[in-house]
Amino acid sequence: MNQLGHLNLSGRPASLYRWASRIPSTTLRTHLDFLVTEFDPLFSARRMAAEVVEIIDETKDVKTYVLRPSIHWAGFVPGQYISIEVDIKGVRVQRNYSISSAESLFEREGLISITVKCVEGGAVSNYLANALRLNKVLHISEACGTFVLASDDLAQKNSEKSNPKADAPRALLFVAAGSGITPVMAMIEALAESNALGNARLVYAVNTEQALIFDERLHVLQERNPGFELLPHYSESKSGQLNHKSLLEYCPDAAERAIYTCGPAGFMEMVKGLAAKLGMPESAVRSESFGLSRAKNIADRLSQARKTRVSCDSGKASNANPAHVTLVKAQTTLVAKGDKTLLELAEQAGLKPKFGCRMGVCHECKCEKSSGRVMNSLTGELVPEEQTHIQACISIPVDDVSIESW
Amino acid sequence: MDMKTRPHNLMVASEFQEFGKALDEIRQDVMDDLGQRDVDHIKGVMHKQRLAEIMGRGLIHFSLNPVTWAAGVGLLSASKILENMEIGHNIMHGQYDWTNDPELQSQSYDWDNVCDADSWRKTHNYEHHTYTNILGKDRDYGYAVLRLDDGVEWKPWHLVQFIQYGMLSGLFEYGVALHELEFDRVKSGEVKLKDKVLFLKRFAAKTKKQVKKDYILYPLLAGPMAPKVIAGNALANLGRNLWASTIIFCGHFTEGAQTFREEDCENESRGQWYYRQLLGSSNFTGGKWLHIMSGHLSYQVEHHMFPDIPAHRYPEIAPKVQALCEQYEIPYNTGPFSQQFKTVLKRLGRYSLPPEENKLSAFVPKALRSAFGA
Repeated sequence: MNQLGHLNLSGRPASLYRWASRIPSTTLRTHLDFLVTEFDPLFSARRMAAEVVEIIDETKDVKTYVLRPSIHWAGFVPGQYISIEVDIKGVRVQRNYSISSAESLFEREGLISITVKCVEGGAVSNYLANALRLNKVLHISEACGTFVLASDDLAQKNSEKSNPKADAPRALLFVAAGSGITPVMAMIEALAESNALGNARLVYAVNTEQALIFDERLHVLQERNPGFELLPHYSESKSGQLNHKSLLEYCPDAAERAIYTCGPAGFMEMVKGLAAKLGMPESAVRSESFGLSRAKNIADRLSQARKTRVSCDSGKASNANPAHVTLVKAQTTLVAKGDKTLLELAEQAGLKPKFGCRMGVCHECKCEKSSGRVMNSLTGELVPEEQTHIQACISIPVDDVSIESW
Repeated sequence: MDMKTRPHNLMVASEFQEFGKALDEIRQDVMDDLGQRDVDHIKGVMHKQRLAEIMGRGLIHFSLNPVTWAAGVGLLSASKILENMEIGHNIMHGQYDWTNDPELQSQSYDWDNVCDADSWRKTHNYEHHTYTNILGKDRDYGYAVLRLDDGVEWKPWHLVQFIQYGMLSGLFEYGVALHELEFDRVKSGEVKLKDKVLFLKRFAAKTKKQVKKDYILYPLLAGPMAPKVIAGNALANLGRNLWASTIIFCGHFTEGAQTFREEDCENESRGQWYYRQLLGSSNFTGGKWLHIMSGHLSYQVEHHMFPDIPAHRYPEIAPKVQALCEQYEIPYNTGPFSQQFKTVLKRLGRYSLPPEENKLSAFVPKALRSAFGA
C-alpha cells in the first residue's frame, strides 16, 4: 500500500479512465466496465467504489470505517463528505458522511475513513454496523461539500509555510457536537500537519466522557501542538447543554476568531446566534449542513402528519393544513389540499406532464421526488420516503413535496 | 360483432368487487415482501446476459470455423432475448423502480432494440396494458396487419396473412418500433403525418444507434472479417425477433384469448378490469429457463393483472390466481408452449378465410375450414 502511494499512480489511472470515457459506443463502454468489475469492483468507471480495509470501534456506538477508494477517486479537501450507497433489502439508500481521516493518509496510503454513529432506527448506520465487514465493497461518490477551511485560513497556512516569520495565523474556534466532530477532525489534523494549528480551540460537546469520539487522536494533537486546546463539554454533567454563556466561558475571545461548527441543526443555530450577538459578520461562521436541517424538518412534519393529515379511512389526507408542491423545473409552487393527486395538481396549474392510464398501471407519469412524502391513493399507504420515482397519477402529497423532474 | 364473453354480465357487481379485492391482496402480499431476493434475481440475469453477450460477440469475431461462429450467434441471440424480455421489458414496466437503483429505473432504461424506449412505454405500458384486447383501442391486437377476430373486416389479402405474419415476426422489432406511427390511421387520413414527425425523428435516432452498433462499429472492430460479424449480428437479431413475436402471439392470440368492444369497457371497476385482463391473456407451461427467456410472459395472465411486480414472482402467485379463477368459474387459459402456439397458427388460418356471410366463402373447402378449427 505504501509503495503504491510512493509510485504516485494518481495521475495515470485517471487519464486512463478519461481515455476510456471517450469510447464512442455506450455498449462497448458498458462491456468493458462489466469485464473489469468482474475482476475487481474497484475498477469500475461507472460507479465509484471503496473497499473496507479496517473497522475501528471509537465508542460504544460509533465506528470508524477505513476505506480504500477506487484508484481514480479524485481526493478530498478536509471537511468534505462523501455520499455512500448501500442496498438494504434490495433498496438502494444513500447517506452523506464526512471524511474523518487526515489528507496525508490518503496521499500516503490511498486511504480515507468515515466515522458513523449508530442512530436508533437509522437504517443505514445500523446496516453499516451490523452488515459491513472487512473487504466488503461500498459504493461512494466523489468528495463534495463546501464546509472546508476558508481560503484566507488556507492562504495564511501556506504563507506561513513559505515565510515562517509572517503574522501568526488567524485564531480559530471549532465548535462540534457528537458525530459532528468528523469533518472537524480532518480539518484540525490538516492544520496540524502543516504546522498551522497555532491558535485554535475545539469546544466539543458530547453527552458523557465515554461518548467522546477520537479521544486519543485529539489528546495526541493537544500534546504536540501547544497552541491547540481541547475543551470537552459533557452535557449530561451538571453543566447541562452547551449554551452561549458556557461557550463564552470556554472561549472568551470568540468574537475575534473564525468559527467552524458542525453538529445537529439546533446546535449550529445556537453557535450562529452567539456570533450574531457578538456582532460578528455571518461569514465568520462556517457550518456543515448536509441533511441535518432537512432531517429536523421531516421529523417535525412527520409528527404533524400523524396528528392532522393522515386519515386512513378515506385513503386520502384530510383538508387541514395545505402542503406545498415545488416543481423545480417549472419553478412553481402548488398548494395541495390533500384531495388531488400530483398529476391533477400539475394539470390544474396548466402543466402538461406525461401520463398514461391514470390508474397506477403503466408508470408513464413517473416523476422524480427529491423530498417530502406522498400517499398512494389506491392503497391509502404512505409511499416509502426513500422512493424517489413515484407515480404521479396515484400520489397525493402528504407534506411539502419537491418534484425535480417537472 | 360476435362476443364470446360480455365481460360485465357474467358476475354481479359485488362479485367483481370481491374478485378485485382478492387480487389486490395477492398483489399487496408481494409488494410487502419485495426485497433483496428480487434484486438478486434481476442482477443475476443481467450478469448472465452480459457474459453471454460478450462471449457471443467474442466468438463471432474470433471464430475460425462455422461451428464456433454459430455458437457465437446463438449466444448473442440468447443475450438479446434475455435483455429484451426478462430485463428490458420488465424493468421498463417499473417492476424494479422501488429499488432506487438508477440501472433499474423504468423511465431511464433503454433496451437493445430499435424500438425507442419512450415510444414503447407509451404504446405498450399504457395503451396495450390498459386497453388489452379491446378492438380498435389495443393496437397490439393483430398489429393492424393481421386479422385475428371477426371484429376486423375481411379483405382478400387476408388470405395470405401467413406471409405477413412471417414478415412481422422476422422484423418484429421494427414492427414494434413503428407501432406509434399508426400507419393504417395515417393512410386513412384519421391521423395527420405531420403529427408523427417528432415520433419519426425519435425512431430514426434509435434505429441509427442500433444500426451503428450492430452493423458498423462491431464489424469495423473485426477489420477484414467484418462481413461475418454483420451476418452474425443480423442472424442474432432475427432469432430474437422470431422468438419475441412467438412469445407475444402466445400471450394474446391463442384460441381462448378473448376480445372486447370499447363500449363494454366503459366505467370498468378495478375488478372488471382484472377480469378483462384475465380473459384476454393466455399462459404457457414450461421449465424455469423457458419462463426466464420469455421474460415470464409465459405468465401473461399474471403479467397483465400485475404488470409492475417483479416478473419472477408470477410463478409464485399463479396458483393463487388459478384458485381464484376456479372459485369464480372463470376460464384460466394455459397449456404447453407448443400446444398454445398451435392454436395461434390455427387462429391465424381461420381468420385468413372469408367469413361465412361472404360470397367467397363458398370456395373454401370444408376440410380447410375444419383444419383451422372453424
